[in-house]
Amino acid sequence: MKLSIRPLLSLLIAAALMPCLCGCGSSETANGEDQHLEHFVPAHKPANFSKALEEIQHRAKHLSQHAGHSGDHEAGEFQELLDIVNWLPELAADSDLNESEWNSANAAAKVVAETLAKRRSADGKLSLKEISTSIENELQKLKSLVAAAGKPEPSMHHDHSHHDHHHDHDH
Amino acid sequence: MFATLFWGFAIRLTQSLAQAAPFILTGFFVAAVFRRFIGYEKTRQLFGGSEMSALFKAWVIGMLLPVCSLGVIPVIVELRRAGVKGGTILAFAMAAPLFNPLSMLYGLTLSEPIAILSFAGCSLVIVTLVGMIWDRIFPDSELKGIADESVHYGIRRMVALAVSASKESTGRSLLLIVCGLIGVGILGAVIPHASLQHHFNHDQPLAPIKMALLGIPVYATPMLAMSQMGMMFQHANSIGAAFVLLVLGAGMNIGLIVWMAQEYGAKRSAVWMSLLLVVVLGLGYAVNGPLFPKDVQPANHTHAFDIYGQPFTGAGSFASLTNQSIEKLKRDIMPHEWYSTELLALLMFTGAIVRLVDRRGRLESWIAQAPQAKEAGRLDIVVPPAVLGGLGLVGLVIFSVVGCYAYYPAPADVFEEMRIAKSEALTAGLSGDVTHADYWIDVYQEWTRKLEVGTFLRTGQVSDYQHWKARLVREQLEMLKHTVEDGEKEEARKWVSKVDRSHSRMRTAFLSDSGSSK
Repeated sequence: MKLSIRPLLSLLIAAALMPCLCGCGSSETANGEDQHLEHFVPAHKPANFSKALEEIQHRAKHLSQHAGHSGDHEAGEFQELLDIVNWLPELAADSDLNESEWNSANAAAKVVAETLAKRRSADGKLSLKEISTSIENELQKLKSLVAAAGKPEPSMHHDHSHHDHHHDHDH
Repeated sequence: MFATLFWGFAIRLTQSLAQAAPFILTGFFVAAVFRRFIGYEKTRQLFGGSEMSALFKAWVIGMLLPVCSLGVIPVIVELRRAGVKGGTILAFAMAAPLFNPLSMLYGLTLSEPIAILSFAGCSLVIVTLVGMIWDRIFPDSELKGIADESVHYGIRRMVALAVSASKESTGRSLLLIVCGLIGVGILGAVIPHASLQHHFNHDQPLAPIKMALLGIPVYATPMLAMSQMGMMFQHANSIGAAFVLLVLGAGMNIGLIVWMAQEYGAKRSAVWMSLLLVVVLGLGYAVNGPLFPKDVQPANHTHAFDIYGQPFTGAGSFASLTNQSIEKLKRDIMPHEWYSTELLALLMFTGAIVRLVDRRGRLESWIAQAPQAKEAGRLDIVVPPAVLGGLGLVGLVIFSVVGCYAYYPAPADVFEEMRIAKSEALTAGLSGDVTHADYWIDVYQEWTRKLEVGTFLRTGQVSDYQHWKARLVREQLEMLKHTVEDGEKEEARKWVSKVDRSHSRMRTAFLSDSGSSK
């Protein structure tokens, strides 16, 4: 077998380049601070299905009442409302709802999300008047499932962060 | 320092060898089937036809054969001898390690199935495009005039299969495989422990390029690459980087590059690699946005590549690292990997004996002899070697499909197996035993994926409801893992309790027809 020197050189070059990829030490940042490993959970993510429905109702009502008054702030609040609606399938799954109940919750959440999405035009303008009324029917359907969802899950949500691992940790 | 480098190298090399052993064994026997049964002319026909059809066939055959990027080496060595065109061989070499039926099914649990199907489609684009351009630039790249070595019927062809596989296992292919393993070993020695956790986040524009740099020397089996992609999807890391990982991490290694350079020279190899990188990175950036999982909160790290760096943090004495390394290898290497490694060692031993004893080539001469013609009965049919070889390859594919049912058991069986993993993971979570928790949480998470695939195989579907139940358990286990690593005992206790509840719901969702949780 003829082993050319070039491929072996490539191997050595690749090995030499690796420290550039990983940095010289472990995972320290340039300014010397440790980087944290985080699973970011947004502050507005409700703890459970029932809390999510309360939040949606409250936020939709607030947006309806203050439609057109709060500018950029309004866009942020609207996005948070949409986020909560989009979390409904997950929060409903994290409950005692059975499959057919979960399917109803999922379908209602989709209708709410679609209804809300129509309130934002292509150029990003919002029309939020009577937004709470437009989702009222679906919200009632969702609320009727709260009893079946069982005991609400306790809040576990806070930013989970920790320092880089300092132990043998493989996957 | 020396001990860390040495054991980093040794552990990663040994782990990779054990993971690759079943695929390498398969590769040696597939290569022997091509040489002795199918023969070079039929092999050329199999991989021949018009340019497009040859590349497409290379992709399909590659996808079906259960080999990895090390196991494919003996096969491509044989295809080269058979006179198959360079672009087609390289396309086959790239496609074969990317997917197999087991990993493809596993991949469907990652995110939306569209993600994995898109990745498979992109791999076809890569091998077709790069293979076609390369063949246009370098026509007539095939070897010519190598004598056919297919054998006659009878005991000779069975002996020939064993002789070919065993001799190749101590020949050139072995050296190329060792080159591939050395690449992984060097990474294990030089990359600091857990230092790759922050390089592939979704908001890092250079993540696919960094992955290309890492992906070439790393070795990943199709299943390992798929589970790493699973972790990247779970953490919502860069999807472009995940795609590059699949193509280069699973599809390339240093041994393949060395083979390419030996066979086609530096210039042609550089052209292939450049074309490959341009297409792979282009596609990686193209899929980065559209396939990003929209319902996952991005994490700022990934654990998927911890296995490529030094296995231990900090320095230790040689003796203490030796003990830790032995413990680690005992824990990490699966029983089927030990068996395959032993079989591989046996094959190599046989090959070495054949080479020593049969220096004059008497065995080869005997194999090449035509058997004396005998009057055959009406039912005594001589099966042509090509038919036998074809059946062998088809059988291998069928075996790997049937193997899916064993690898992904029925839901009830999965829950039986999962009981041990759950118990170990949650107990370790409560006691704060980090190493034990990390290990068993991974095993537990793996079973939740097997649960989904096993259900899909038997019922033809996994409902959104079931998918969510399994996914929640995985996500909560991930949070538990982090709290244990941080030593947050009270927090870990809460997560243990939550995982326990979610597990019960998951069990009901998969085992009860109605999915009733009450």
